[in-house]
Amino acid sequence: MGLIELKNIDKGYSSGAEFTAVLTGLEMEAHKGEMVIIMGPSGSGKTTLMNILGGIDVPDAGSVVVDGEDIAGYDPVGLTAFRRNKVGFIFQFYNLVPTLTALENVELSLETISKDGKANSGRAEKYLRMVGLEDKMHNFPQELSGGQQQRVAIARALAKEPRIILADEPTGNLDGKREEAIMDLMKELQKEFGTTFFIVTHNSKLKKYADRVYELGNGVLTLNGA
Amino acid sequence: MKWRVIGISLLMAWAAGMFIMGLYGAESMDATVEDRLENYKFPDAFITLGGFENRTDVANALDALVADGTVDAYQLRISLQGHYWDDDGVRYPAELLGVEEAQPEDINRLDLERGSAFSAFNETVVQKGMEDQGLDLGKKASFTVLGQELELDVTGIGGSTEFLMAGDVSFGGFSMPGGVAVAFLPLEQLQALNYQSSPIGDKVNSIAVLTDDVDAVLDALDAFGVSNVVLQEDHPSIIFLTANADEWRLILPVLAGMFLFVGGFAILMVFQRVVQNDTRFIGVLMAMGYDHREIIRAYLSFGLLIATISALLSVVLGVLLSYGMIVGLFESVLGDIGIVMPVVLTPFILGIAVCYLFVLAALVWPLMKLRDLTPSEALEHHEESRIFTFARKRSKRSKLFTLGLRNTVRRPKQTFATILVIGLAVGVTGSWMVVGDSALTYISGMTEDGNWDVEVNFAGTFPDTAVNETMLGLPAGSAEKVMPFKVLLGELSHDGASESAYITASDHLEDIREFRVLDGELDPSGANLAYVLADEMGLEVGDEVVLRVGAVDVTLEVTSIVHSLIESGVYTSLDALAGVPGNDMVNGAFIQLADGHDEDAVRDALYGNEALTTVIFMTDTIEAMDELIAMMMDVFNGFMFLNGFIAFIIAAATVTIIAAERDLEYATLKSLGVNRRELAKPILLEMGILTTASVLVALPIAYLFSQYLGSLYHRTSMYFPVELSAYSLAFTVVVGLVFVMAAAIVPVKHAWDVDIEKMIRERTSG
Repeated sequence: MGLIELKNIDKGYSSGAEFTAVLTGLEMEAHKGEMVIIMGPSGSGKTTLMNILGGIDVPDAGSVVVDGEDIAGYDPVGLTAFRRNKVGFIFQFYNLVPTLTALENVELSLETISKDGKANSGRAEKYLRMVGLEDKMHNFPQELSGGQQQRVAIARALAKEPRIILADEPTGNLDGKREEAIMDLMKELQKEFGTTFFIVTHNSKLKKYADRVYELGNGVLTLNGA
Repeated sequence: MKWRVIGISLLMAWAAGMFIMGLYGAESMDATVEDRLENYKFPDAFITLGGFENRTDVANALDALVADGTVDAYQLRISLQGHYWDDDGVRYPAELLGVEEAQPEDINRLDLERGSAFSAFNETVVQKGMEDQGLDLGKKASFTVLGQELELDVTGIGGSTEFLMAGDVSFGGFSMPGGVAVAFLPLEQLQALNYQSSPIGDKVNSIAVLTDDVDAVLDALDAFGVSNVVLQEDHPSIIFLTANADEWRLILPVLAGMFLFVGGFAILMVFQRVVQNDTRFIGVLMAMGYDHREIIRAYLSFGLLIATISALLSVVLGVLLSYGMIVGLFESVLGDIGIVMPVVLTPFILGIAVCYLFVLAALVWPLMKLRDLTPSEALEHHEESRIFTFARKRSKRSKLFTLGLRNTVRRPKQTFATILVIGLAVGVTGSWMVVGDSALTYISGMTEDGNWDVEVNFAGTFPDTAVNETMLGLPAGSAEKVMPFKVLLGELSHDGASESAYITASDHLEDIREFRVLDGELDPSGANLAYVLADEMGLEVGDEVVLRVGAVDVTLEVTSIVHSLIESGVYTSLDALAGVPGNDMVNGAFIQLADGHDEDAVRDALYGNEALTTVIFMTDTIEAMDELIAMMMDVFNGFMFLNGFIAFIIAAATVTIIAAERDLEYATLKSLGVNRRELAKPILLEMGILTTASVLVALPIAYLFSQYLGSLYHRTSMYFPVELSAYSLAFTVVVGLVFVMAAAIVPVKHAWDVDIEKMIRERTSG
């Protein structure tokens, strides 16, 4: 059994009287320390899948087992705890808190699992160094470039040492050079920490980083090459 | 957006509703009073004769005036003060009115609410309001008057306009309803009573008259000696009924205007945020070919929608508030007096107009900015990235705490505007408490400043030196001090201007009360003027004034200006009025009772003394005053709560703007696993800071606005100094804190309800 197993996942959305099925009988598996890339055209349901994996949304049917827990039936309190302890997010537009410095953004994430301010500060610094931002710790997001902000986001996601990191178009807002730098960094961190990465993208250039590639189309997930 | 529309509409509706309440409520009060006076043929003057005069002679004098059309109708009466005992032996002051007709049609109608009119001796119709004290239909009522007992059957309960405010006492010109038993009985029954050892006979001592020429009536009655005249507009019932209308007409629209201004400012902030949020979408519309006018028209329609909803709600609120307040003011105090709700359009047209005016005015600035926007600017618009930040030093504080602190000032201008708007709203709310507390503290304080335990008024006048414990019939040793006084009505003149004066003359002036001297020194040899009188006439200490009493002018120097509940009060000594005939004659006395006196014996003695017309115990006055104050505080508290609610809506509307622009942040925090309790913390911290700052801003505003409200009250009803007490200060702070912090529920709930999935989806290309 892998770290993550999705079985028979159905998910749809209602708009007035109309119901649109986004994911149908979806199945997926991933192992510890893998980098999994999920590809598909716009509107294929990549973000929906990501949200289900990350405990932001729940499926209409099926099971979502992450590290032995089936989170499909969790209530909002349970999902919050799941995200707090097991998941790290990296967003396309970074979503850093603009009134906090880079260091404080990472500390904010750590505060959800520990109230030891000194320890959190030390840990946050460590991860910011790891992503090469030791001299930008006290800068606010608006003082950083796009690539630097994404690094902060990566450090924020990693700092809690979660089981899985979900990255939704992590390089979607970056140019080619920075895109490679970020992907190289994530790959490095994946190897170092054994964290499972899920990356949603429609950029086929990122396939080379993946241990497993899934294609999402018509609500169904297919392992690439399978 | 829906809640924002509801909030703004409610806010404007409430403020405009108050505006309408002020104008329409006043119209309704005026109509009610007019209706009452018209229907009940309320006399134009109440004349008290110097003594008992032959009825026929008086009637002849008045009939001549009826014949020439000067007088429309008159009512001859005997008016006597006595007291009423209830079944438990508790005594109440009583006024017994002997009248020729039980239910006159053409003057001073008595509204018989229950039972029937008296038709024989020993029957009476009593004024409603004393049912709990045993004066009820079918009961036997015990009265004592002129030292004689009367046992009367209560055949009817009436509502006489003349005695709406039964209980008018001279302790400060303040009338309070209830506490005085008023009985109407056959004139002949009172004429049969003994006065000075023989029956009164076919005489009267009181006249009510309907006339346009009171002076002609007084001239005709000159031969009989007139001791007092109360004109309709000076009658306590009319003063009570009309004073509130003037207050409302002036004060409520001013208050509403303040809220409309503050609310309008809050709406401007909301509209500005709405337009700013839509800027990119506006760019898309422009790219599609829509021009500025069409886009502006859309927002104007939005504004018109809000204005229309507000206007409709304000009409309903205005009527409900008017009715509720009039009921609260009139009926709870006076019982059912038949409130008239006239059909007048002006207050509603004005209220609707102010709604539209303020809402549309709030749209002007945001739409002007929109008018200048080019399509490319709109499409490239992004939220201002400049955010004010501070404190980069390493800090061990919780980051959620840090977030709350910095969010408070991330947009300094917006924060400043928010604090100002909320501070204004809380300040206006607090000003009510300052005014209310000032008025009531002043009234009760002034009442308690009297250094006397009993005030008595005589049926006639007595030499000053003859008034003592024995003359008053008091048990020996029960009076510590007897301080005779004389009250006169006169006129004060200076430099061609003149005002009515209520003159209190006594050689014990300094002992009678603790005068609150504002300027100069209390010197009974001169004129010590009430502040209001001095202010109206522009008088200062040292000025020379002329007191006209009857036909005599007395020149005095103004020696001090004092606080006085009697706004036309002039305090001097008997010697100072040496030129006035009978200056050493007094018509009342203040009595300081000795420690250990027998209260019951004192009351028995005074109530049983036929030489006394009124007997007022300070303890009874204070008790009645406390009831009045409690009643008035209910009104003030009601207003405070209503206005606090407006402050809540304003606070909620302005902080909603703040919350709305941070949806992505809330979504991010939730994605990190921040739970609801933790999510609320930075918001509550920010709200706490805003609330505290707003309350600090509110305090000087409360003081300044209360000064202005106080001046309006002075103009319409009574003067009192407006002072910020610890109580009103604390109350303002607490109300501000409670109502504004309560508004925190809005952004907290908003943050809790942010849909992470939706927010993230909106910001991704997946």
